[in-house]
Amino acid sequence: MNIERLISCAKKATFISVMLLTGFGTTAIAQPDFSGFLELDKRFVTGGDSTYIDNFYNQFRLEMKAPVGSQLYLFSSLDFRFYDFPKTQSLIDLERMESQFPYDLSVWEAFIDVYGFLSEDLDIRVGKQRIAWGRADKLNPTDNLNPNDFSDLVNFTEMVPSWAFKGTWYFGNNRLTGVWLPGITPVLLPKNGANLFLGDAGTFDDELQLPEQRPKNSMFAFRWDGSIEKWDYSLSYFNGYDDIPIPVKMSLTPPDPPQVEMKFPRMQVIGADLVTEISGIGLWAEAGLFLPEEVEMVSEVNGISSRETQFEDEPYVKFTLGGDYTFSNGIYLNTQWMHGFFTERGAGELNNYFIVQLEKDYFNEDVLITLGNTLEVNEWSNLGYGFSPELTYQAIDNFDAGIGAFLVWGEQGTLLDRWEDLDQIFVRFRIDF
Amino acid sequence: MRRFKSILPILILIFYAFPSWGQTPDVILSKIDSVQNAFSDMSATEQMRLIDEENRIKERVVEIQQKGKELRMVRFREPADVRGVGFLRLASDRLYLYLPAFRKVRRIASSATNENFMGTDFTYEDMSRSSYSEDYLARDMSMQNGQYRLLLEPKSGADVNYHHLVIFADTSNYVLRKVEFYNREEEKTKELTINDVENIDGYWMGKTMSMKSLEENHETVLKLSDIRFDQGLSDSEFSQRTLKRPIR
Repeated sequence: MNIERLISCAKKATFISVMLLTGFGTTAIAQPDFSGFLELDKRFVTGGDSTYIDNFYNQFRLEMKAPVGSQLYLFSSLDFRFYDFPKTQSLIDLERMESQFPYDLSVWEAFIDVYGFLSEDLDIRVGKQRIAWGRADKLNPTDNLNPNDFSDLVNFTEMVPSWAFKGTWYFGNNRLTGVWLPGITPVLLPKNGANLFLGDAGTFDDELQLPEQRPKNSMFAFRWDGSIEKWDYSLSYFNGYDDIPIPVKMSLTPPDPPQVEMKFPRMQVIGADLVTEISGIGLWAEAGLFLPEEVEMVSEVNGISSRETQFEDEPYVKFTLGGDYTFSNGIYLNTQWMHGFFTERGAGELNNYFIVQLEKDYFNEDVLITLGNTLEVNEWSNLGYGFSPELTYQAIDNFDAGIGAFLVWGEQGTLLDRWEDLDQIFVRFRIDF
Repeated sequence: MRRFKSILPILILIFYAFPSWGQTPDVILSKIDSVQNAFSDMSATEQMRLIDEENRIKERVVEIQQKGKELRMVRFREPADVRGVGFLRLASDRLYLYLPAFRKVRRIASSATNENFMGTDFTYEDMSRSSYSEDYLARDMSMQNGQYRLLLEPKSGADVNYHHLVIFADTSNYVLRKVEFYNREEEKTKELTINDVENIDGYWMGKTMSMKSLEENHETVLKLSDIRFDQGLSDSEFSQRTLKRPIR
């Protein structure tokens, strides 16, 4: 690159930066487009001794999209979750709106896109965003940039957006993506349900250690996407944190309740995925080689302290293999084999999950029936089974109503065993605007 | 020569009465394809009206772009619950769907092409087809109501979801006017009619298409507007990069 070109690039970068900092300067902002949805959800939990109505959230999402010229785009969304039942515990709570009508409000996503930044072939996205990696269907061992969103047990494959700087360079049909995240965003757990995903550690009094906000504790990742004939593939590298904490100190001093200190271990993941189709059958494979750091745990039992390795720094592989096919009668079949659930880590701790999902729509897509089946094979001996049927009525544009169930059964020690008490029937209504 | 002059009016009469004289079914099919693909690229806005048997109407608005026989891009503007959803076709076995809610482009298997496209009566295969001679052989030709009538049967190994098609085209300009779709049981299941044929910038184009599913008594009426030809769209316009960008 010669000096003139360097200067030209620098000028362009300065100009765009100034535009971004000054609210896009003189560039005319297009009329913002507002959209979103309201979803009302009722959960009847039947798995325990008696049926109860779960205080599950209803959700209102307001999105604002604004293209600015041909190269800039602004997106933000507010997530408002409100609950059915008050959390009043004393008379003083009756004076408080937030106790009577509890809610959570967050900026879900907020980012700026710049297309053709510095070079025609470079796009950047800056801000709170979802970066979805991996070509498997929702069960992606290479999707580690955003934390898991377990706030809804029924939709445990969701992810939470996090703040990142992402640049994507395009080379014909190939692209190179680089991402930098200033720090970790931890997993989002269901209300009062940490133990569902974290086991016993979720039941103790706990203290979380977040990494210090220093540059050395930031996270970064690269990914190369390419195509060879009808095969699409990617290779990726992630250097960051596991968003699920691990115990590093345990105190058992009766009669005090057990206490646990937890931290987020650093890890690297070398990933690859592949997707193609053969005779109309979609096929995919995705794998992540996890390179964890060693984690030690200090145990204090009745004042006696001991130290042991809680987690070895041995590499392990998580993978998902899958395929899908649409039969001529319209039935859609999607099957996947996932080795290693989101919360599982360590070579000896990975279990196998076989997922079979069937979908069929009726009356010109006015009604959709989905049957989800999951078989958990824990250490190739203990079994768990999950069944999630759902019927969705979507005859009116922008509206759908669904009724379904999430039913699980598992032998002791399985993940699904921990979820058994949360067997539930749900009814939901959603309007998009 | 004198003798030729005496039969010339008869020949002219024959050619006007039987314009397909001397043309094989495959030649006519090839001309129909040529008319459909005469432009190098095209973009348009499509307004779709989905009409069920009780005359309830749903509306969809999509932006379409196409280049050559292979490259297609379809992006939804309305309704709100599918706004931003995009479909990209790079080849018959390289299909991609962008779902903005997941911020992810997903490859879809070609077996899904026999599925209806977003509740319309058009399948993915119908939406992306611009050449019939690629997958079908014209077996039989006749004249019906002043139009060519061709019976099309799939070529050996062609990845199509119909047993056969019957197509009709204008004799004067080879513009496709009707397609009858027959399933594997050889029953007529759908019928596509093309109307409001106009010559726009030198290219023949039907601005209204109506696809009727006969068994379900459901119909999709598609009207094209803002039609633009030969804008010099590059191949890079048909990429995952463009698919993910917001519609302006």
